[in-house]
Amino acid sequence: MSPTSLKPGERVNLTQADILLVDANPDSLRILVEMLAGFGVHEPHCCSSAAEALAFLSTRIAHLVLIDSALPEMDGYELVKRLRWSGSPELSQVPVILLCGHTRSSDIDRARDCGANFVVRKPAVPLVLLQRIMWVSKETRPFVEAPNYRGPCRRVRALGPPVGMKGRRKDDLSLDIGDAFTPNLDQSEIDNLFQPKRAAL
Amino acid sequence: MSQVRVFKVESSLSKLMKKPGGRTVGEALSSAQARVEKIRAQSIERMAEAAARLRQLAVEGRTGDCAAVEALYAGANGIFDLAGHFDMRALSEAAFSLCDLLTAADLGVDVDWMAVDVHVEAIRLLSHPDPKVDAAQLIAGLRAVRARYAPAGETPVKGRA
Repeated sequence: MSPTSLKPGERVNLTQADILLVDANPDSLRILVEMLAGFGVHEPHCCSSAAEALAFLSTRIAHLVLIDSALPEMDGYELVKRLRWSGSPELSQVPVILLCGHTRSSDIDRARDCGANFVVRKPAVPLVLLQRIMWVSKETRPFVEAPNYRGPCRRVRALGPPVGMKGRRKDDLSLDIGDAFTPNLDQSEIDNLFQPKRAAL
Repeated sequence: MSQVRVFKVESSLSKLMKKPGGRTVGEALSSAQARVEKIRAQSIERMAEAAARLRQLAVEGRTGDCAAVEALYAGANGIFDLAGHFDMRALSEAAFSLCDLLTAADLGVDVDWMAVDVHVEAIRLLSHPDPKVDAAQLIAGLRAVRARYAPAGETPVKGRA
């Protein structure tokens, strides 16, 4: 991943975002709080367990949830799954970034299948974290609700890798074409597209 | 018949982030880095305290106390994260290696408590704000211990991004 995939002049507005952080380690939590404050977030909400996070989310809506995978009792993978299968659209579709430190081999599949939007390896440095937050905000993948999986579509082949990220396959191309800054067609050209014309054979 | 729904979702985060205002990516990154840097000394002190607790947990863990083994794993995992933020690479690698050792049972290998003790002692030495040890030599020793669980050519199990 190239650091240049984030443009230094691009604006990021997180001032009104309600962000929930779930991490049992108070020191890791503190670092995340400082990082988010640097990004412009006003006082993220912090929880130290999955139960506390579920209780918080039953009364408040978060715009983004950052979850550490290694939570005591109910771990982070299970918490993401619980959110995705909660039955409430606000909760089941909330953007989630899962943070993983050391991962047991038995948990690697769970990380892939729990339904998080992105999995970030710890230590989550500011560049990577901000980039993932921006990717989440520009999420182009459809949401899937299947009998054994709920979350963003895991097939990136059809859509290409996230913007700025080099794909793993030789033929991976990102389909991002950016935001339009001038009209591509003038109004008469657009009108013409809607006017049926006799084809000259 | 099972039903699969595939649909587009526009998150409220996306709508909020499109609003005018906020700061540039450059400003956000430098501000975040500066704020993390401000708590460096305090975090390093906390890491040293966490490292000191590992020794007692290792004593309790070898008696078969599962809660102590879990706490030992969580402690090492936390040190791995914190050390990474402050570019303490040797400490980070030692903590990650200890996590690997403690999860050896997942790979069908018994936990070697002598190897755990060696790691705990190395972490304790490396967590000092100004380590008085040859970190490179210490890490080379830990890698040799670790290699017993991951034979040549096999990559140790690591967290995936």
